[in-house]
Amino acid sequence: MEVVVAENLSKRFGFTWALRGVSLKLGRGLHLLLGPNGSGKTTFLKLALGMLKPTSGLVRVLGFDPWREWPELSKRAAFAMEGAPLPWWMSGRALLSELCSMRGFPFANAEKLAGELGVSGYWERPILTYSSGMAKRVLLLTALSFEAELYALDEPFTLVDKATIAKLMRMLEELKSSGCTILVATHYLPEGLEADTLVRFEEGRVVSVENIGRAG
Amino acid sequence: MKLLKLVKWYLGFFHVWAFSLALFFAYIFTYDRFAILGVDPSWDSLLSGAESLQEPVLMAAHAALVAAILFSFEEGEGYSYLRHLTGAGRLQVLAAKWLAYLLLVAPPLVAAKALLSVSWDYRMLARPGFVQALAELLAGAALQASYLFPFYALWALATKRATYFVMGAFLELYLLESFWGGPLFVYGSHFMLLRLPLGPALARLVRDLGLRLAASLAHLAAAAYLELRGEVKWK
Repeated sequence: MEVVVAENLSKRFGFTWALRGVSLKLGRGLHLLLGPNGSGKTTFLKLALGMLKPTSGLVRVLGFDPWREWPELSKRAAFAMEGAPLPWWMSGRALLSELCSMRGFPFANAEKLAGELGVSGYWERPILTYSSGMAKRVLLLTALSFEAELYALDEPFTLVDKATIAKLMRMLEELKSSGCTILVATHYLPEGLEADTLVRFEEGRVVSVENIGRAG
Repeated sequence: MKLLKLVKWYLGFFHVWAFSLALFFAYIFTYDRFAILGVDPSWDSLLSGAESLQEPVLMAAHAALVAAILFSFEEGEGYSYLRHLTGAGRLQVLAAKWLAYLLLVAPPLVAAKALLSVSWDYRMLARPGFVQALAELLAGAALQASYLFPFYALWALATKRATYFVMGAFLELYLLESFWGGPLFVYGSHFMLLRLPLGPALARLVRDLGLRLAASLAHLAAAAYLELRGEVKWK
């Protein structure tokens, strides 16, 4: 079953085309979107998550139109985007508690993952006081704390230490083996990460799709 | 249920409730001057206090500040990311912002009047029609805040940055608004909705401000369109 389908998908910002004519079909599994900065991988993720409206073409995720049907799709998808601001006036714990409450998920899962990622030690403090690595781990929790069929992570391996990367890789493997779909946009590929598909972006286009393992 | 949770989220957003608490004390300070100046400190003098310059300006400035935080600050700084994460629809978000805005803007003024009048004369509580007058005052304040909301919401969506929004809104308030009426007719609408009984006030508002009300509704439609069409903006 195809989880993400894009057909001739394009996105323009002003006079700049961030994505041009991307057609892609991805099934279940771990898919890496690779490419240099500005190659269009994050724009592709945002279009798949209904944060941006396509200029032309279409994208379907789990059968939904993300732009129009995000409230329905959001029950089955979770995401963490690089550089997204966290509310500095709150504590990490309060933020995750609010998000769990609004999304209708038990807080217990967030607490468990916070322990595993070493966030519990500091998440009672206001986000204002976090280092960038600490904030990044809280940001990752805003995606991984929720049960979903699709996880979209933008640059999850930057700003965090090696131990966190190893834990994160293990979590992604677990999610993959439980039948989830994970889209990871990254320009840094950690050693040992077993992906099903490598999608390479360049200048807003998909230049290659490499199926490595099970994908579908 | 989700709408209520979103309203709760927006009430706590950037600690915006703290500004409402501060405004409550500002109203208290303003009204307490009646007693200091030797004016008979009564419920009636509190109601007529709407004639003073401070009350309409304070309420409009408060409305502008709350709209700046809920719209410009959220979009401009990229916090719209978080509400997208909650899975809320765009129309639901707009409704939640409007409800949170009403809760933040209208009650401080009414609560300050109620508290002061009771503290001046506790027998006020037993006065016939006191509770009804309070309810009408609250409804009037909510209506005036709603009248200002589309203009400020649209202005916020257009400017995106809270600093530009506040500069623009305050320039409008201080340079253009007057007793004879500016684009928002802050004094006029405030006088009608917070001093006259609600029924006649509404009739007069429609009669005198028909064009402005229509413009206000057009603002609302434009703001809703921009919000629904919008993209998540990233810092």
